[in-house]
Amino acid sequence: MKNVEEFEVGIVGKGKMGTNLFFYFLDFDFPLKWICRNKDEVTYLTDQVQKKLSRSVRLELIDNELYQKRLEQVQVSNRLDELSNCDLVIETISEELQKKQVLFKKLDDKVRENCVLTSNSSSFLPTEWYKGGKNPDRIAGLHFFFPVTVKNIVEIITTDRTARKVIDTIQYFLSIINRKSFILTEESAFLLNRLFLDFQAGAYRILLEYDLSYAELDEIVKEEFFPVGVFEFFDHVGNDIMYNSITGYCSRVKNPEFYKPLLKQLKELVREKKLGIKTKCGFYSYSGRSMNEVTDSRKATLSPGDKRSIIGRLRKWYLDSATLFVSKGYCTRNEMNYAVKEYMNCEKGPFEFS
Amino acid sequence: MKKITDETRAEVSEVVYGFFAEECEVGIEEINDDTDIFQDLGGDSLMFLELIEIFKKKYDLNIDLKTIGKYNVKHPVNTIGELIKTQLLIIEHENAILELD
Repeated sequence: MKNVEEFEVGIVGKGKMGTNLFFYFLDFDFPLKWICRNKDEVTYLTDQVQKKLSRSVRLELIDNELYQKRLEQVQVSNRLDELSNCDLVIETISEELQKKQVLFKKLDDKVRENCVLTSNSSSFLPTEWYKGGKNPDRIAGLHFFFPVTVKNIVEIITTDRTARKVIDTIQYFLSIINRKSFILTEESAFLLNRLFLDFQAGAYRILLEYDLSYAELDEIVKEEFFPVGVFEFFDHVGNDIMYNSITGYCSRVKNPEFYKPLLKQLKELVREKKLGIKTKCGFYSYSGRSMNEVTDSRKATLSPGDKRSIIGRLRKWYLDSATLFVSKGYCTRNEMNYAVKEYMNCEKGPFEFS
Repeated sequence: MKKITDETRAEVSEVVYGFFAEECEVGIEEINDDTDIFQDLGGDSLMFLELIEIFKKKYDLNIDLKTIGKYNVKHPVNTIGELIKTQLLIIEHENAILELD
C-alpha cells in the first residue's frame, strides 16, 4: 500500500456530508481533491479552506510550514479530470439514483483502473449506483455517519464482485483517518439504519394508537433508550433522506405493511417541504435552536401500565432486529453494541439492557 | 484538573468571539455574552464541534466529543456567554465534566 502522503483521495459533492468529510480529512496528510459543480462553488469553497487554515495558524494550532503543506495537498475543482490520480473516490452527491449512475459512468472514464470507487449513499446499493459500470471489482459502499468527527463507525458495503484488494484499500484508508468499520454485504447493507427501522415504524404506530404527540413519544424514547427521540432524529437527518432510505429498505422486507403509516407521514412531510431542521420545519418547528411541537392538539394521558406496555413493545422491536441481524451473522453482539453506542451516542447497546 | 487563570478566561473569550465573528460574518463589536448563537448569529451545531476541536488542540485536552454531547443535553448552550462558560469547564475538567452532575 502507498504511504499516506501519496495516497490520493477524492470527494465528489459539497452537501452536508461531503463538506463534513472534506474538513475532517483536511487534518490528515494525504492529497485531497474536492469536486463541486461550478466555478462559483470552487471560489467559495477555496476561500473556506483558506479561512480555516489561516485561523489554525493564527491560533497556533499549526505552523506556517504545515499551513503551506495543507494548502498544497488540497485542491477544490469543478472538473472530474482532477480525480485521475486518485486511489479512492467517495461520492457524496444528493440521494438520486440516476444522478449517481451518470456520475459513476463518467468517473469510470476519468479515474485510474485501480482507483477504488465508493459512495456514501444511505439508500442505494453499490450494484444499483454502479449499474452498467466497466469494472465492478473496484466498487463498494462507504457509509459514514454524520457528523464524522463524532461517529467513529463506517459501514463498508461489498458486492459479490468487490475485490479483496479494494476492501484492503478502504480499510487502509479508514486506519489513516482513525475510523472503525463493519464489512457488510448488499444483503446486510445499512445495518445500523435498518436496525432502528422496526423501532421507528413501531413508534409511529404507537403514536397513532395512543393519540400521542411527537414530543410525548420522543420523551419516552429519550427516557428509556437514546439521547434523541425518533422524530427529532428524522428532523436532524432530513425527512426526504429518511423517506428515500426507508422506502429502499422496505423493498427488501417481508412485511412492508408494517412500515406504511410511517412512510405515508414522511411522504406527506416531504410533499409539504417540511424536511426537518434544514427547512426549519418537520415533525417539529425550529426557531433558532428551540424546538417546538408543530401541533399541540394531541395530549394523551398515559397510565403507568400503558407506558410500561409502550416501552416493552419498543424494546421488543429493537431487540428482535438486533438479534435477527446477529443470528444471520451480519455482526457479533459486541460489534453491534459498539456500533449502536457510536451511532446513537447512548450508554448501552441493544444487548446491554438488563 | 487544569487550573483556569484570568489569562485562560481572556484567551477562550477572544477565540470564541473571533470564531463566531468570522464564521457568521459579523463584526466582533456586534457580539456580546448575551448574543444568541442560533437566533442572532445563525450558527449551528457543527460550529460548536469545530470550536471544541480548536480548544481540544489548543489546550491538548483529553475530552471525547460524545462526552460533551451528553453534557450539553443537560446543559444546553444558546448564548456566547454560556458557550464560554461551558468551554472553561471542559478545559478545567476534560472528560470528568460529566461528574459535575
